[in-house]
Amino acid sequence: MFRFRFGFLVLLALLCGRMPGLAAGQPEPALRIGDVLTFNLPGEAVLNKDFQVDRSGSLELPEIGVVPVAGKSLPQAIGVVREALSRVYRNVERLTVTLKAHKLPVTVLGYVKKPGSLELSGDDNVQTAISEAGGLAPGAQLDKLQLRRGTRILEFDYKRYLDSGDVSILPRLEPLDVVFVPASPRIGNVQVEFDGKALAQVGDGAEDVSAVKVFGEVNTPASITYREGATIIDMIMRAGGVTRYAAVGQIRVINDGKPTLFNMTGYLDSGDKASLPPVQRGATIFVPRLQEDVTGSTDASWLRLPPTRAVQVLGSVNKPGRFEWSSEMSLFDLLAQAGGPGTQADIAHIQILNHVDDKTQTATFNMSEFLSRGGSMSSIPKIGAGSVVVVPELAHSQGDNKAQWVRQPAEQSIYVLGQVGVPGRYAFNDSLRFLDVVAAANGPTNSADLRNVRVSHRRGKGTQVSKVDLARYFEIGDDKLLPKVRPGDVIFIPDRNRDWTDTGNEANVRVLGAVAKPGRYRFSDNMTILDLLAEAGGPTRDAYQEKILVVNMGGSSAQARAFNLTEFARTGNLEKVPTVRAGDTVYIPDAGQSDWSRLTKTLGEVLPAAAILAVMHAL
Amino acid sequence: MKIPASNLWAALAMCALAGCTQWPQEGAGGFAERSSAQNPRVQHLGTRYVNALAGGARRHAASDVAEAELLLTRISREYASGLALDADRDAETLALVLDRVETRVRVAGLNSK
Repeated sequence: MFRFRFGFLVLLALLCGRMPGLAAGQPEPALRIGDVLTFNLPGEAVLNKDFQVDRSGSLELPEIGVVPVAGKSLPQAIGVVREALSRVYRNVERLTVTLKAHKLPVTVLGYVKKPGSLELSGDDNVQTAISEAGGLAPGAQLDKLQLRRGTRILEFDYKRYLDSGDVSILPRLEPLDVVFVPASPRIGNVQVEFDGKALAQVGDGAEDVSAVKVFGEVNTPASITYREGATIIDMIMRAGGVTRYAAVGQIRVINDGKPTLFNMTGYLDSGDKASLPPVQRGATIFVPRLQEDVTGSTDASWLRLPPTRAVQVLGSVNKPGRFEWSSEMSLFDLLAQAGGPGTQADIAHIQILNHVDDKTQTATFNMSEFLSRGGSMSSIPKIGAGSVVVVPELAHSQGDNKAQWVRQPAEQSIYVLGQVGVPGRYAFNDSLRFLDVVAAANGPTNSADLRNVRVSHRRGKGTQVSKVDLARYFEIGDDKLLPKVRPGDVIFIPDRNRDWTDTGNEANVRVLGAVAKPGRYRFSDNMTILDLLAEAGGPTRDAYQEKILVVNMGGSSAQARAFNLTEFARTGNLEKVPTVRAGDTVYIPDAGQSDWSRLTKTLGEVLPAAAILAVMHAL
Repeated sequence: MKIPASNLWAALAMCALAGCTQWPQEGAGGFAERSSAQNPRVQHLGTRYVNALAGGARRHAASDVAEAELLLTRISREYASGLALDADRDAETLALVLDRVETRVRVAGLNSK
């Protein structure tokens, strides 16, 4: 009795709306594949759990096997289940079954990032399914998605749903549905990694038949999906707008093989929509190139500009090329037309090649001097049709690329050799001076002998060498000490530590004998013998300082004089300091050459002989 | 034969003296430019030099002034040390240098007017 009452109550509860979706007056929904049912049979642990309706529409129950329930209402399903269980189990009237959840097994295939089978919630839609499949892959064709249900294929416009948010556009998902995302025909038949942005730029037209093609002088020629009501302006804007070369008054629209001319300038001026040509499915829009711009270019083509009207500007200008010549133009006009001289241009040596009859004549123009000092306009070279103007380029760093500066003409160069930072050949003109060139060569090095700079003047038939005391110039600052140099000259700055045989005797004094550093020392008339001895390291310990000798090498004769350094140090008498000049010799004897030393030595040799003589005398 | 003792000692002294050296006379003039000039030619050239300096020679002919200064020192020393011929030759050179200095000073003076 109790058992009957309990079973009745369960059945009543099931019928009175404890299941999801059940309400008074509504038909009981049928169970679907994927639904999850919760079983409870007291005393039977194997049945107290959840069971899901499998893909065959059945429940797989322990010891019973499959029980088909799909398509049945929940009460009907409970009846079928209870009947099946009663064959094995007892008290099956106490079994309670509730609908726990709706599940939606679907499959998403095609151009999604993770295609495969999914289990969605019962109320999920296509967008959720695509999202669960990793989202759309680049290249997916959005307006041609398919829903495959059994043998039926339903095509729907997913893009339209994304544009509008209208959920009714999306088909309702059923269990075992297959959502297929096709690839756009634009990605071709070869699988490659491609840039989705680039693909979008060439248009979104899925079908060649209905897409509108826009090409010519537009920024992004594209095949664009036809849209009802879209105008030619819309299409051109979708193609990135027209370029600056577009002939906007001569745009062609071809509908069904019939071309129509569209004057966009006229439309933009008037705003008259009636002037807009219709754009039909599969239309072609062509924006031609402005012909005037091509032929009227500032860079006149070879054909348009014959040699009889052209002049050529070559070399270091910003825009070298052929230019149309007019008789009222000057050389300056022409250089301005060529963009002006470049930063490395040698405007002091502009070369002009003129045609005279069947011969050519060359001329050089120093524009640098003309600009700085002015001059007669007649001094500017005349240029006619067929002339060639060459603006040479100054050499770059001497150390970087010698091959380049070798191209520089020798007659426009000056040579700086020896102890300078960057020896080499330097461009030179009349506006430059000696120090400009030395400075251009990065100046003298630390070991440079500034007092013996030599300049070889090579102009004329013979050569002349002048000596420059650059150190003296830096002491005095008189520009008169600097030589005038001209192109072709050679400046040589010797090494201070060069072999002494390279230096002349006229500027040196020889210091010999008992000094720390005997040798040749440069001597100036503002120096004295004391300076020389100091520079030679001073007399040695065994020097005979009382008789230092000076030999004056005069122009007519020589004379020797003695100097008592010891006495000078004791008395400071300047009158007994001998004269020394460049070219003289100073000799410091050692103590062995003193009078006393020589006397004792002689006596040492004589006394034995004297002793013998004395003995002989005694005998 | 018996040699007299006086002769023997005289010979011994001559042998000893034969080892002595004959040194040149002491030099002079190494600092002659510091004392007042005795030679009239040096005095004359020195006066010209000082006058040129007063006229602004150091500004208008710096290199020639430096050369003149050295030559004047050299000439003073040469006269003081007995190198008269060399001194005369250098004095002629100094006179030419001073001519240049005076010319440049004069030209500079004219240009400034």
